[in-house]
Amino acid sequence: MSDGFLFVSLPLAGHVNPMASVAAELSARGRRVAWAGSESFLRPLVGPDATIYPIPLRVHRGGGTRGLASTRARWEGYITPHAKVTRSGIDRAVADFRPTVLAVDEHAVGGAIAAHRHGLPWATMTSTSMELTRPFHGLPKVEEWIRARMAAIWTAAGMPGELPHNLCTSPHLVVAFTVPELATAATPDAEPLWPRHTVLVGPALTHRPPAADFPWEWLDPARQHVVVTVGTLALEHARDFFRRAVDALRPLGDRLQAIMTAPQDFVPDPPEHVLVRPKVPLLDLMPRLDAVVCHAGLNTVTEALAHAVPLVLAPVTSDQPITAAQAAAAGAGVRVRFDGTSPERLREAVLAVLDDPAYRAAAARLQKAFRAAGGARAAADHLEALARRAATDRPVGPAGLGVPGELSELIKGGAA
Amino acid sequence: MAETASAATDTDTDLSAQIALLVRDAAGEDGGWPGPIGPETRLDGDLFLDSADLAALDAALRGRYGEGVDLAGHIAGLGLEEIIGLTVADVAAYVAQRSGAR
Repeated sequence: MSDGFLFVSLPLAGHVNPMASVAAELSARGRRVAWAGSESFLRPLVGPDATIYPIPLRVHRGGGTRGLASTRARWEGYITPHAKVTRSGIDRAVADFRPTVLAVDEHAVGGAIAAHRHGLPWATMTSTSMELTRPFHGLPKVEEWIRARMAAIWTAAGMPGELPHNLCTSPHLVVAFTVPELATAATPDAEPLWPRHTVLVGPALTHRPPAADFPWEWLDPARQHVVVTVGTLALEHARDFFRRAVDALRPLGDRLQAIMTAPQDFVPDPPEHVLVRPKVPLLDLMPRLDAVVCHAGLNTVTEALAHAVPLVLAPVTSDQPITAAQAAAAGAGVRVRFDGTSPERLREAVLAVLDDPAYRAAAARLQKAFRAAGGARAAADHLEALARRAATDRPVGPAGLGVPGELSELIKGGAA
Repeated sequence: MAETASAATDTDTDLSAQIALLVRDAAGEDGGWPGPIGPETRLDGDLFLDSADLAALDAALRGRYGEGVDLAGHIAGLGLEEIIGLTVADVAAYVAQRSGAR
């Protein structure tokens, strides 16, 4: 049987999109690929031919929280129950599919535990700035709190002994969908905190299934184009932001058109040059855009930068302030406050990134770095290499400990 | 905090008001807050200040009250719930304790 790769996902579009790109790349190479995830959520993102082993869908109830409360909600309200309800489904997927390697979303801790239980090598797929940059490095009691939650998940899953290591960071391979030029931009003098076996491959944008419809004929080639989006999790906080964004762009109808990804009722009576749609094919639109105003989710930010599109960054929660700081420090965007920034200030920020070529030039430098990093092809190469190492090193020890050969070297290297 | 046990004197109130202004300056680049900032306003829990905002506030506090005031260091010693609950009045009490400004 050829090498098999089991992708363990969370029902979050920004997490699944890059993983789906890597999975499709492996399929195109003739590898066996399957998913553990929610059929209803995954199917539109991974296409009709993908094999999906069902695990229950659990909506991110804490997704709307902000500040450090979002960290508490992520662990107590989401990661912990997700690990619990997905355990048997992931185990069934492993037993039936017999993967060589698991590719696990950084926050799908149940996948990490399944890999340990079955003695399989696994890779962490890092699709946010949260686990890569360790934002709570300077808050030891917060890191300790997270570690205690993780240890409780480990024990509740019936795993023996102490938590062996951070379950959000595989000891074998970490694939991050960013590049050092972006990830270290805000902290140029600090040593990166990610382990040595981390590969930063840039955004994975290939093999994306067809996206939402769009009235392409609406776009006026004589004007510039701006998208305003806040992703999915922040939407409930965004009504006032969209109101201010419309006011910011209202006087600019002679020079630009704006596409706002929001429910129609968020923007009643939009002016002629503003189009409001709940879903847009953002990646397909990117080559036509001159600026993106967004919540600084890593997925949206890297999609824009991959097309050299500069950004206005209004981070809302979670890792978004980190990504916003990175993109702004790299010179590719202007950071504004999501709360209360006036329409005038928002307009200034949009006009700055449209009119000052330095922002687009900085975005183009990151575009170049992304291309060199290789995206889905590079990620697939690294996953295949991990599978080959696993084949020569078998058997892999239980719980990823005592693994012989090259893998154990990697584990030691990653212990820092 | 224990240091404020002597109750809300005028000095405490003044200090809280001063610090509320610094918070506004550090984070609200254009003063466009959705609501007023008072002693009970929480930096993380209500204002969602991120690390960049806190670094700006830290610098502003040092500039105003002296190098003995190390808000970043103070926060680094707090737990998750304490950081979520940290109010303007808590920062004022910390500043008063560190700077002798009372």
